[in-house]
Amino acid sequence: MRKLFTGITLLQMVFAAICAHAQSLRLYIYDAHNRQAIAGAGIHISPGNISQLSGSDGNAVVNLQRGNYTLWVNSLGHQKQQLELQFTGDTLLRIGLVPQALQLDSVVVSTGYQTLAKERATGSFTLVDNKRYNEQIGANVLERLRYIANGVAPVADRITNLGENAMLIRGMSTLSPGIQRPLVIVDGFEYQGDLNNINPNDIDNVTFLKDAAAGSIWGAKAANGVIVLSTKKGSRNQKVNASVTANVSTGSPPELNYIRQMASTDLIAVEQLLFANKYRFADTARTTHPPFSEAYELMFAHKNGKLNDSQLAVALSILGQHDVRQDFNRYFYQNAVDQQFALNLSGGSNLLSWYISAGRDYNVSNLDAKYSRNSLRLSNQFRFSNRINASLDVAYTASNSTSGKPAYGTISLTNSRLPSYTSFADENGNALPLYAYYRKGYIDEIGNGKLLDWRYYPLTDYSYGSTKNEVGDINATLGLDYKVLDWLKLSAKYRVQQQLSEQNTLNTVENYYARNLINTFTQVAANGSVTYKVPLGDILDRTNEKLSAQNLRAQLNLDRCFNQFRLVVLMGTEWSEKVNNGLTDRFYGYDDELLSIVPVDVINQYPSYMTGGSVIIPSVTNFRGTNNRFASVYGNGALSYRDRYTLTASARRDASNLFGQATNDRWKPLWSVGAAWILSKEHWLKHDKVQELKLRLSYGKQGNIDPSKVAVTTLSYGSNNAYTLTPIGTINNYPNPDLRWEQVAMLNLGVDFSLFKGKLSGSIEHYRKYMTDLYANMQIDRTTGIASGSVTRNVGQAKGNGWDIELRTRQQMGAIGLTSDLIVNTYTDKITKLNTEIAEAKQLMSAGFGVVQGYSIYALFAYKWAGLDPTNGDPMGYYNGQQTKDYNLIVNQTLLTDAEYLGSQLPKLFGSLGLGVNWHNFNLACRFSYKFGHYFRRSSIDYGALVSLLNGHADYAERWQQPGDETRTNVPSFVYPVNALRDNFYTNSATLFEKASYVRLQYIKLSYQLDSQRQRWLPIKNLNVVVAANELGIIWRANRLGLDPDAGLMPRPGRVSFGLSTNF
Amino acid sequence: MDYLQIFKSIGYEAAIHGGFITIKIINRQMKTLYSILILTAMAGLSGCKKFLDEKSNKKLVVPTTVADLQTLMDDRSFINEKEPSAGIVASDDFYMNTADWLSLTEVARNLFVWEPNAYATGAGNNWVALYSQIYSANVVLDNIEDVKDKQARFTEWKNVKGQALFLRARCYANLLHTWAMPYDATTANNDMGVPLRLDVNFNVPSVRASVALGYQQVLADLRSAAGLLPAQPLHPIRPAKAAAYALLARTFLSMNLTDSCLYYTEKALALKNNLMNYNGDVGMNAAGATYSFSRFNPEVIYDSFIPVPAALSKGMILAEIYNSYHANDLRKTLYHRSSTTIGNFKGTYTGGASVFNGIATDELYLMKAECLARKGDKDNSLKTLDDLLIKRFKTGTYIPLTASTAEQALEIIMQERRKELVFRGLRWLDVRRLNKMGANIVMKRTLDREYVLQPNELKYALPIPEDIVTISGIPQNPR
Repeated sequence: MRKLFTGITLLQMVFAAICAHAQSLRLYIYDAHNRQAIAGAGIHISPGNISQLSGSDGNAVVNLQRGNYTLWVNSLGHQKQQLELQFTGDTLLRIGLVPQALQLDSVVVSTGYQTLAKERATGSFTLVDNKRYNEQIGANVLERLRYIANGVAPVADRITNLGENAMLIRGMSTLSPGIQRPLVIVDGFEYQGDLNNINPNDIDNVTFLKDAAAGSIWGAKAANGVIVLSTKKGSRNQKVNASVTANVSTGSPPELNYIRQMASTDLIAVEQLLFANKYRFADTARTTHPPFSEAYELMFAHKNGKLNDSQLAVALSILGQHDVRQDFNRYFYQNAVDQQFALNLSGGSNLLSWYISAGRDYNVSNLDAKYSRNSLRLSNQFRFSNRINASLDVAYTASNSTSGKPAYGTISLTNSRLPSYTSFADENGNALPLYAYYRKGYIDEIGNGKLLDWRYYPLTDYSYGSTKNEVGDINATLGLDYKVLDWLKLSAKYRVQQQLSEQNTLNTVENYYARNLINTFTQVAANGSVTYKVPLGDILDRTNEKLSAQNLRAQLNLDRCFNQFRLVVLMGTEWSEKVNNGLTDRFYGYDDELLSIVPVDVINQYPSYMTGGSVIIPSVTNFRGTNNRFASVYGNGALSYRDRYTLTASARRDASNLFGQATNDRWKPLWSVGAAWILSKEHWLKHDKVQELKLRLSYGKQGNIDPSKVAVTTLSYGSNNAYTLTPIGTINNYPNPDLRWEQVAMLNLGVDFSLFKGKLSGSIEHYRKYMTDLYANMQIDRTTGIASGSVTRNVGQAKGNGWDIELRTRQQMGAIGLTSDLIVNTYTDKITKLNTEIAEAKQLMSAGFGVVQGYSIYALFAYKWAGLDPTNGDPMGYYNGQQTKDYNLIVNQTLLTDAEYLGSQLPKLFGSLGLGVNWHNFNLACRFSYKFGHYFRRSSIDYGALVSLLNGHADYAERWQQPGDETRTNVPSFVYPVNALRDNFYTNSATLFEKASYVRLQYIKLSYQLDSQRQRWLPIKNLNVVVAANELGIIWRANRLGLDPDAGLMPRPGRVSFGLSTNF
Repeated sequence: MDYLQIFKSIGYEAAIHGGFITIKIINRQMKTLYSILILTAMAGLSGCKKFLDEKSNKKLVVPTTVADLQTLMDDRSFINEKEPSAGIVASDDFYMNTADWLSLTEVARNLFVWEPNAYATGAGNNWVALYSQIYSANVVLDNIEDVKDKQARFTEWKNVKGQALFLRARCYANLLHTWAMPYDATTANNDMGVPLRLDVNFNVPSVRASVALGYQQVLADLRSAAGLLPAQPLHPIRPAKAAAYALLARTFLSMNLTDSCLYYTEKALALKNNLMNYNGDVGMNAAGATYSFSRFNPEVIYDSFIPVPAALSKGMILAEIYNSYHANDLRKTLYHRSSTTIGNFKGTYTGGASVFNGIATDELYLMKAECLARKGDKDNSLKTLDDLLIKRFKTGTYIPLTASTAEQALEIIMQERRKELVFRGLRWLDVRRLNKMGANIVMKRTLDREYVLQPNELKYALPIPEDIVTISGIPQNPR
């Protein structure tokens, strides 16, 4: 609401002499920017429900009784104005409307603690307004933000250690990927639950806080940037507005052919070679009866005389024609369909404003997993008096998800990957067994009919069990504002959140997991009687989690003008608590109809049916409980002079109950200072081509903590020792009394501008950040007893810098309106100091990314490549500058200084270009994204994995086979026995690294809007029809192999959406 | 309270009621008094401390009690079930054919033929497993003196401390047996042993101590442990006095110190001397079971095992061992499936595929017999062996052994030791110590070519994992 009022710029009231008889309100409506009269502006006055249009001279006259009125003025292309009027008699009211093009002037950003006009801000904010936020249709809030925000880089799916759908705000701020997460704020408080619980249609706008002046108010958690989500609210004195939105999206199945899977015929040829070498023959005699692949079983049948030469050849050739991806496509994958409905109502009287929304999502994934979410949100603001305001927000979300069919790559054998020639069904569609755990023949006959079928059928197995997840989340915030004096306000906010989730994994007795466990614990006596130690029934695993979070904030807000100064100060304290409790339990012999269970003995040992060895029935019971508390004090002040010069400062201290922080930094001070100068308000720069020009400068410090790192030895209690029945403890933390919180200092310089009457606007920012006390998992001699081989220490310093540039243009060419929005971001970082030295290159190869002084945080190194040996196709490298094939020397002794540095895995230049075309009621929006200047390592054949896991790669077909091949290929020859070091060298050699640059078409959205102001026949306010397509693919890439540098296993599948939304 | 003064000085009246401050704001212009209640953080410094003293994770504790430390020693999958497999792979209880050997990973192939680079780098190898167990023992030993209930629970306190000392000694003994040359009193002060880490400070660099220092540490820890541990364990998964004595005996045996070995063997036997009668007894599985014995059977003094190494699962029992069992010797069928079957050893005391290498009474009988024979007590040595073997033969078929000399008796005892303790992980120790006494045992592998391990060769100290050498800078064992 405050937004609206601060948004209004010019308002003049001129009181005329009171005339007892003629009580008329004269209005003059004009454009506040060019001072010209506005014709045809809609005027609405309440009570009385009087509506009128302004004349061609901008004037209008309305006859009224004395009293209090609310007045609205609408004009196309201008911002709606609302004002309160105390009508005492004949009055002339001049109302200036602000053109929408200049909305930049009135943009309000939110830090979570306050909303402030962007004009007076000194920090770096990226605001994603409602329009841009809605250019993508998706079920998840964060997914909609990935490519559209200035200064924010979406992380490639390939980089998994930063999490799913990860975003980096101004690059890395730590060396520990596990704590590189932006802080997410919803309506002023850190959101503690699962962000999927938020209905994306309830979000009004999003602000990214990118530098210290913007984010340091969040203190010790803000170093990775802050994402502030603001939900929709009602406005006071507003007629009831209802809007309904319905979206349907459909996504194609993933492109399995993108996976460079080895041809089935090649795999069979390799297995024939292994068979000839008697590979794994010893396994035929093992008491655990390990399985063999289908091709191997055929070869054994041939060896034992059950198949003759030609029968074997025919059988293998039939096998070789099959590709398991066809089965995945045919039986498991389908189109994903997401449906989304949202209804919201809002309105307000003089005393109360309210917003109610309901949302329903129902998604069916391309593996038939189902997700539904119902959400309800109420938001109320009460005005008790001029001085007391209260707000109450309550949101409730209930979601349900059910697991679907198995994805490619999730089915495997106990001792190998799923061979590519596997079929899940016969020609009639009947499920075929996959001998994944025990050997064919043995498992077909075991038990003499006394056991359950011990075979595994991938085609149907998923249908005999499921994982269901139910989450209920309630979030309520009570706020109270008390205006003590006109310039002093006290406010308190209390937020409580509770999220309850229950996960039930049911393995019915038909499911392999249950059958295997039951069979293992089946005892068949000599007389043939059967005893089940694991009851013949379903197995249910249940996990309950409860999250309760509370925040209490008390804040003092001061906003006072004196002479030409304006001082805005806020000071407060916040206490927060987040309690997690969890329980996992398992029930055997569960009957879903009767809700009965059968107790089992999880203490004594029983002979395993298969091996005779002693085994204990697995018990998974486990309790968990954590409680993270924070106490903070903070303050923030801004002093402006003549609305042109602004100085800001903020400071915050945090303390937490994390172990051992008592001894180091329990209270951590973090601060920022900033300055802004609005040049465009200087008289000497007044120019009709310059609407806004502002310079900003800020510097400050933010923190980053890893709650798992503490200064003392801690033990983690686990389940009981099955024999002594005493608790088991494991070392959870290796003590490091010197550990301090990470600090990131950032210097930010920015220019905001709006030129040529808003035709060109944007911002240019440059930042430099200095990261100190960085934690890193530094390698340590495992002889110390630290088996992980690394300990977290404050070992390093790093610096980063970059440019965030956003340029927006608007152009009107007759009926066609064109907009463009170009985001150009650059980012580079470098580790400037590292107390631990990494000497050998191999330490970096396995980790996937390296932490090395003098290089980027996500540096990629490779062994130098010297081509293939022309005589036998061996890969060749260098050691000490000499060409060599001594792989032990290369892999174990190559120094970092001798390795080839390729660059960073994170792009140096990235951003997006959004284009919009308006024509009458049509609107077309599309966005291209791009990343340049980084590298990735592509996968290739690993002969060790091929032999031991049947894990092939299509590059096998490209391998060196005869002299001369070295000129056309870099894929080494296949030799048996395999040499792991040779594989290791090839996998990490420079020949497999590619440039990752690309340009991609991210989305296109076409919408058609019917508006009752133009289409007067429309019974409702407006109707919006949308067709959108997302993830449309790469249009240019630097690598020549057609690889998607962002893709994990496969690129994200494309989506098409249809949407309808209406207001009435 | 200072801030009350501050409030007053700026025109407010303030008072404290309970945890709250009531502030009356006197606004003269508006001639109104406002009363407000605000929660104050300033008044709550003590409350704040209390608020922040709540434990952040209920499952996490800073070890302050005897019970906390005991939990570390009860982590059986970490303490008891990760014994080093190097000795069993490198010794000669079994053989492998070339195809199976070639199908192993390179490091497993190398270990089998005593070549360098015999360990996968990283967290999974024996060296790391042993040192991380030592770390756990050191956590206990570093904290044990400061626990708050030392006096109140003194019995448990002694028990935990004893367990930690026993664990540390067992780990160092395993390390010395695998990565140092066999004990030789004349050179032990100069021979390279293993790094001795006796506290949790991981900032201290690793330096290889001498073999002599290593054995001194093992013996000292075990002697202390024996004094602290209870006579009877809660369960054989935990060590008790007998286990400490038995391990002392085993260590002295590996040092070829017969008197001390005999002394501690007898002390252990005095506490526990049960033997199973292989004709059918508690602790044995039904006839035809995949594995013949159950875990924690009556002979087990202390339970620990080696997870089956890949090489062993492809191995076959040496014919010379298989054929040496008498037809009436039950061990032939209870231990072995057949002379040519590849598969896991069925005679293990773990009840499953894993290789038992804990401490059992049968080993004590064999140590006692051997020591007596070495001391020249022919009759008592054979008598001790008879006590064991009569339980291993079909009832009524056992004929007591005879020998003309103590040397001959020793020869018989050593043969029986090999037959009884096959696949216990003890053969490696035996070859090392016997060669030191001139037994001249040559180990051979016939694969793609012949690999030979000559007596007392430097290769008896197995290669340390490459990454450990690189990172710590300790010298590698010469080949």
